[in-house]
Amino acid sequence: MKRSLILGAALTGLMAAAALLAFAWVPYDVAAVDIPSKLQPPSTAHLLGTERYGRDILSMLMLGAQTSLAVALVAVGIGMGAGVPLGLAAAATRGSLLDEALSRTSDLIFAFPSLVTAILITATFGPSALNAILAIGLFNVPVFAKLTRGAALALWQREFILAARTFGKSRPRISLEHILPNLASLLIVQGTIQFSLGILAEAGLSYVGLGAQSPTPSWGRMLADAQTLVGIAPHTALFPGLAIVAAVMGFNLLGDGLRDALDPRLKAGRT
Amino acid sequence: MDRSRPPRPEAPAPSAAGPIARGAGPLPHFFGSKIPRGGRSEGAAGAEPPGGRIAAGDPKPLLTLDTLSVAIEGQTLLHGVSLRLQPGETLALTGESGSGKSLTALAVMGLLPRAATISGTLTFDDTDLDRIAPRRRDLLRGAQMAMVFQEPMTALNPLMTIGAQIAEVFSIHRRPAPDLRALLDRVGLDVPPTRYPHELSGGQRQRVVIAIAIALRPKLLIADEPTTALDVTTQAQILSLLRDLTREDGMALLMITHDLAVVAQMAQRIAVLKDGRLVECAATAEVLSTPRHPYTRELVAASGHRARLPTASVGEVLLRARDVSVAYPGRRRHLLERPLPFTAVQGVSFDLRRGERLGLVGESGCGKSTLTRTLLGLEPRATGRITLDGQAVDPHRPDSAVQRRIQVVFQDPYGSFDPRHRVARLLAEPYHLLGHAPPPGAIDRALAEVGLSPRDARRHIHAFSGGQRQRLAIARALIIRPEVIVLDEAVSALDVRVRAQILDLLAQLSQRHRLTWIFISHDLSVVRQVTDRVLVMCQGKIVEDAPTETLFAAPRHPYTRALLEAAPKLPDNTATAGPRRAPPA
Amino acid sequence: MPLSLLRRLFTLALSLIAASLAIFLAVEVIPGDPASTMLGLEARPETLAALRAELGLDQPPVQRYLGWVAGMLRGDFGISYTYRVPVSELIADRLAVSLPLAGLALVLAVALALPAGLAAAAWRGRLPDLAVSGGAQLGIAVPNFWLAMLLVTLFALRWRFFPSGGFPGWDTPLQALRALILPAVALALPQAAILTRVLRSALIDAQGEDFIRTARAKGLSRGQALRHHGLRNAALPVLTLIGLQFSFLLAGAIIIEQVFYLPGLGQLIFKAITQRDLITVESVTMLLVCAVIAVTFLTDVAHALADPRLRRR
Repeated sequence: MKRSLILGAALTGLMAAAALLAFAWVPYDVAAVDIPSKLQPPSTAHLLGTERYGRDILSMLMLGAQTSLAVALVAVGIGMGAGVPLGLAAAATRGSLLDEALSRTSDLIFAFPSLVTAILITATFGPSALNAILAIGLFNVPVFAKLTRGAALALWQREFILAARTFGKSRPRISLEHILPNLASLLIVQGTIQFSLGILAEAGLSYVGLGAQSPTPSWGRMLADAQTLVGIAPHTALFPGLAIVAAVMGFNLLGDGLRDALDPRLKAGRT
Repeated sequence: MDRSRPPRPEAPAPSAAGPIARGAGPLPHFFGSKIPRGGRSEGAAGAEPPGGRIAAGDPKPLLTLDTLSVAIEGQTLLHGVSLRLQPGETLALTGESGSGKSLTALAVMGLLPRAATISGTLTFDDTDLDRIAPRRRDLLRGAQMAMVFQEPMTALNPLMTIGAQIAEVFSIHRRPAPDLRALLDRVGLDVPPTRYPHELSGGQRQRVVIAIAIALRPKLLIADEPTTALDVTTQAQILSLLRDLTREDGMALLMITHDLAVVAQMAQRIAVLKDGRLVECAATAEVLSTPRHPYTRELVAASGHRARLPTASVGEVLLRARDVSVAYPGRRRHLLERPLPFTAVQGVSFDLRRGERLGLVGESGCGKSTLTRTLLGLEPRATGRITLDGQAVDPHRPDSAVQRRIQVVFQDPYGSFDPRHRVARLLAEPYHLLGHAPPPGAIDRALAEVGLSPRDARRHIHAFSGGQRQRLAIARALIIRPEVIVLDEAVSALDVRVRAQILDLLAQLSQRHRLTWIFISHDLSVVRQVTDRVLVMCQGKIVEDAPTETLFAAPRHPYTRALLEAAPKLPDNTATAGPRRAPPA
Repeated sequence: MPLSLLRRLFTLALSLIAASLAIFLAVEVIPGDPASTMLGLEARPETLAALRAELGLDQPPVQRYLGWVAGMLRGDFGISYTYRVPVSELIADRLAVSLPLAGLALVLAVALALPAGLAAAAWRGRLPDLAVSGGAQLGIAVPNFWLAMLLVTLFALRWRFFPSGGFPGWDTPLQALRALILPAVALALPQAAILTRVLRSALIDAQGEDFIRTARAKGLSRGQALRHHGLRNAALPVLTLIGLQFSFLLAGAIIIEQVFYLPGLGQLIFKAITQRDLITVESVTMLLVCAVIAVTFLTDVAHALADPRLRRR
């Protein structure tokens, strides 16, 4: 549906714009604690109100968007960067030791509850945004590896790949020249989905204190800070939560929209 | 179902029938303005019924389509089609892919997708099908009208036994539970009803679908390309089963098929559709011998078309296969059982001489494709010896020195090109084997040679029709001037007119370049046109190897004889000399 | 016993061995000396030595690993360093909260997703579908802990229908159930959203199958064909997902248990991780992995039973 593409692009665009703008300008300095003006409801001075130390929630959300985007981006990057080549190689050498090992390892990683493992990793190596990225990225690797392998195996059965083989092209060359470009849209769609999952995971880890550490603002920690205050100042919990929902929904809708937008062209080549 | 229909005059009050069924006599004037060749077509059918049985019976039609149109998402796919089907009559609906054949069938069955809107009238057995309650419409299906589909492999629910799926038609219509054994026997299926679909072959599954369709002895059976997915011997059996069943039960059969040879065997009348319009409808013999509409003439001519292959000038042995076998490891079913290897190709030996055009014929699963891959050096499990001009073809390690001398055209015109690349790049692919880019002008010349324009080089593959793609595939296979071309079911996916054009193109190219090829096909009539010698393959072995005309005139092996007998043929007086200058596909 | 089952059992055993090795390496070997990990940098040498002796760290890792695995096979998961009680007792206590919570959440999720998915598939592209799809899109995007906070704010703090946290124990079953309702809802809604989407698309895929057309040609209405043929075929991917969701809910409640102060498995492992109680971490993680692998195995077997095509393999 076109609607989901437009809505998704708008939401993700808004988030990216806020994050980029925050590099240059935010309404208030969030390093400065301003106890007298704490827990103010939304007003013209503070559009989304202030939190328990009197910091401007809008400014913190803008900076938090940087954290969320950065964590999700790098985590997806890790997943694609390692998973796609592994999946391509496994498919190109179907049934080989590499292929078997990749499948088994993927299944094994999938057997680990991701949240527990992420907590384990961040707790073992110290809570930080970097370790959160690594923990989330680790689980993205088998996701992309399996997806790439499966789709590539299907492509290897197609006649145009058989034709490329009769033209004497090597398997690595076919993988790069024919397989990868034909997987691009699939990977982009999965990338947006993993992106939204990354944002959710980062929020969760930050919420339990294992993600980005103070003073780096993060949506999850804003929610954790708001938890005890939710009765007296609901807006402190409302806006960070809405930010997460909007971002996750944005990337999911973008993914859905892209899938529908990219599919027909693939089908036109396929049917 | 969603239907938006234009307002139409109310039918006369007492008559439940649609407008056409009013009055008992034939109404030739009614269609006069709507159907081309009014004198011979639909309206006249009642006046001069083609089949003898019908003349004696009731002239009131069982099924009437009156200016039926179907549109899906604003695109009109069927334009005012009017047809009649008498009780017990077999009518063939024919035309090329996309002509609206299946859509017509689905409209009659009430199985169009929800997005479809229809207009016009459908009258079945005196009932206006648009005016009855949805539940009654549902229950007409299975009881009064039934359908057999093209793809037997997916037509049955994989999770239910065949018996349960047959029994369901009785329970849904609240009839007593049937004698499943007797029903299965009736369709010639000798397996217990407790089997699951995946345990049956394609032909057997089609028999199950037929059993479901005829279980309640409907008045109308619609068969949509019921044998297109089947092998030729199975096709013959299914066709004869359908003929017997319609005769025994007095069922009317609306048979949808693209194959005029099948039509000739089955139908009393033919209706020809083109781009959603009915162009001709008359008795089968008449249409085949004296087609009136130019399109029908082309279609009939193309069906009986024979490409004029130049006489071969055969030279020395170019490709030699000796004792080639390919075996795949089997699957172990039990711990103590030894897995039996599956031998796809078994001890195949043959010679191909320079300038010779060799055919390889066999049914699906006979090992044709495996043998092809072996010849191309892409089958690592192959054993035996293959030499090209004395040089060994190593199946384990593709050798560009060999590969540049043997090129291939695949079956699927849609699947054999990378959809992401433009034609210029696609045609240049074989130059990878020579290690250099195509010389200037090579792409243009290759395009011109197969009747395409140099402008096409900049387009993507999805901009081309099936026939054009197959031209591109031939251009690509020829571009580095290989010594052997393998044509693997190269025309099987094409419509009959396009197929004739591609076969003519091959004949021309053979004339121009003295080509050597191996033409692999399941279709004997095609192989006969473009080969000098034929190998018949059955269960991995070559059972007969003979010059083409000898093979067709005096087949020696029983399997070859069975194949030839099963192949549907056009009657001798078919108007094969139709317009011969069809534009390139 | 059919070969297929034997083969699956063999894979199951292999996965368990690989998982236990991975956990052991990750917890005890890679970070270095477990004793100093557990006690922190300022620990005195005597305490360190005592702990090493208690944990048997003087033994080589191979022996420790084998000892750990052998213990688990006997049902002995070691003694928690923080709580000073056998880990198996801790697990049993916590499962009394986590299992009902996961079960309740799953039942809720399925009860929501089944009618929603069916309605969306049956009225594809129309109002019910748009509403369900939109709702599911929203449900997937909502972090469950935020949902939990909102639920607490409304139903516990404002209207006082439910307690805002804590668990009274099963001695008072009604109170216990009341304490689990809000957490279960918070867990269930996002899962229901995922399940709805999968069910909807599985049903839509099934509706496009040729055999649905055959069924309709027999005289079945659209709804009958969907229920008698579509649902059965769509059930397979949905079943797999439900299996995975159950194992996820068992451990995935970590954050929710934090929000509601519930003494469940998630809280146990979270505290164990932050307090560096490695014995508990190892054993509980292993238990969770076992649950995932066992559930995967069971859904595999269920698949094979439901799908005749898989029985012969």
